[in-house]
Amino acid sequence: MLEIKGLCLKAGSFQVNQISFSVPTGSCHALVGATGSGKTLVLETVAGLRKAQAGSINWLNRDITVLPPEQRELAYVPQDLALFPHMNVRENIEYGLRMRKHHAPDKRSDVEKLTHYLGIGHLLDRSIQNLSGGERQRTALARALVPGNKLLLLDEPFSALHEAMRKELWLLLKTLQQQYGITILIVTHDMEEAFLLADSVTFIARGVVVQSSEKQQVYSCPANVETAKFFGVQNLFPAEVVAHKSDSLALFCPGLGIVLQANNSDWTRLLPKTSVTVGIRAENIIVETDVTMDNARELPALNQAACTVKQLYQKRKGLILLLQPDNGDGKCLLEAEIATDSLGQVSELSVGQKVVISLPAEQFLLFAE
Amino acid sequence: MTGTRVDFFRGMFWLIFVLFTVFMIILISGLLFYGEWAAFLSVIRNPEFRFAVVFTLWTSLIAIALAAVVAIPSGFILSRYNFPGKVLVDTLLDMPIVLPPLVSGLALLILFGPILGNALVSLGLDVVFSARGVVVAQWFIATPFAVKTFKQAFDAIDPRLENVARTLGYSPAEVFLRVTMPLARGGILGGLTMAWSRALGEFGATAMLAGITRMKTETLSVAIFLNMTIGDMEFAIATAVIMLLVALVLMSFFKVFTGTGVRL
Repeated sequence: MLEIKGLCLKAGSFQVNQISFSVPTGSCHALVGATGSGKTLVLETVAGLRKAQAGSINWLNRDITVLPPEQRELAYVPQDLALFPHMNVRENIEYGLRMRKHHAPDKRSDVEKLTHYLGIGHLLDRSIQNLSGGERQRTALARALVPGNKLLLLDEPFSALHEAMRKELWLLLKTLQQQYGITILIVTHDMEEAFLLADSVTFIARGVVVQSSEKQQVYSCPANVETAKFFGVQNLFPAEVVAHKSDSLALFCPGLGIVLQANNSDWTRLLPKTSVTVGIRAENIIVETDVTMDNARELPALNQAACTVKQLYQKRKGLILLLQPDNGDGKCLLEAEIATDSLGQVSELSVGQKVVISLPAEQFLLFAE
Repeated sequence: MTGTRVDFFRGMFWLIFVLFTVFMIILISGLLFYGEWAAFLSVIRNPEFRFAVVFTLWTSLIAIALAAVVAIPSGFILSRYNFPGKVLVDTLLDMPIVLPPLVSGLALLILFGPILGNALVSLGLDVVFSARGVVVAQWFIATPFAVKTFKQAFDAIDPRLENVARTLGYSPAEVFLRVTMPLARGGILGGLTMAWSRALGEFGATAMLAGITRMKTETLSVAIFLNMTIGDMEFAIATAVIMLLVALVLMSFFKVFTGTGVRL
């Protein structure tokens, strides 16, 4: 297991404080956060390229906090890959073997096997300058893994690749991880990448851990508004608790101009007049077009609001609507997403059109201020 | 209208560039064709000239080797680390470039004379008015050029390459020898060429520290000066031509074979 406890470090005036998380052996953990949040600094400290001011880093029950990088026995792929430009593909990949005296034939056959598996077996004598983005990426992965280290540190490794190549390499990496039993710590700001590759996630903001848990937990229960925004909760609006029962809360949302009912026994401790932020993902908002304002009022009023379509965006996987609640304070603009396969269920949409939205109570996220 | 202005602007640049190149060609041709070839051949057979050539070569080669020993770590430190007063230190190391060589020579004379002279003599390492003084003066003048160019060469290498090499099991020394130096090779060779050219032609500091003694501390530059003072123009011109040709060949050779334009 990779275990990081109370890690503190400084880079110029930027401070990273009390970073703690653990990565079980053989699993993948994503360090996510906005640019400048300190996630790369943490990764570089784990790699031994920066000195920790405090805290500890343990890998397989071995304290590696103060060890130089060459003694940590880990594999590291930086963002720009840092392939040695004065060497060809084979020399790059075998570079780590020379120092570790892995000249044995079995290691050589490992190289052949790994490069064949990564699809670069035919490129071994090619110059680094003549590789495509994906080939460079595979070469960097091979170079990192060939010495046989089981902890792989990746710093936004796929950010420069186009989507199709990125997805291909995600799957390849996932298979490699399972096949070779590698533990992966990956830095990324791509949510899709984090969720596809990682088993657990740590969200870092301004040099501190905001939330660290299983990926599903971070996705479904973000710790605060900042985490929710980062993990794709597009709709966050202020509300006030107006009443609470044993299993539900009534919340008035000025932005929507309606009272929402939220069902979650965890929230019933919130007292009336408490200010909260309500969040809901765009894909969880149900948009109905075949309703007039009159019959909209006849619908169960619970968690429904009449809105006007302000803008429409066609996305590859569906339609994005920007909706202005008709009875709100005018400051709230909701984003709703209709998946392509659901588009048939709504009549043709246009800017200025009146719609009714339903906000399912079980999909709410609530953040007390 | 804009196009015409741009053309005029670029045209002026081309004009100045061509005029300067023509000036350099005329200058060098003047030196080449002013002397007589017969005299040139007799100078080559002259023992004093041969001494100056050999003496200049070995002193400058030692000076350059010593310059590399100092400039490689200095250039690397200046490139890779930030520390308080870095600008001042960098400027201090540039001093021999901007100081008149005579001033550099005077400073060296004071250091190796009144200050360290007795200690060095007792160790049998007297520098003043000796061949060692020539090496020291050439080293002192050439080293800052090497430091500057080496720093640029190290600056051009992404430190991440060194970081990755560390994680692949290489110690800092091994990373330097196997990653940094091979990648900086072109810049290092270019810097050494520049520094060697400077050492080959060094006169002022050498004259102050090592003196201008015929057949003792007589470098090619000193030989030109000594023979000019006694009116032996043929010897002076022949020596100057040799130095010019050596400089041209050296610079061209390294520019072509290292693939680097020497920058300062």
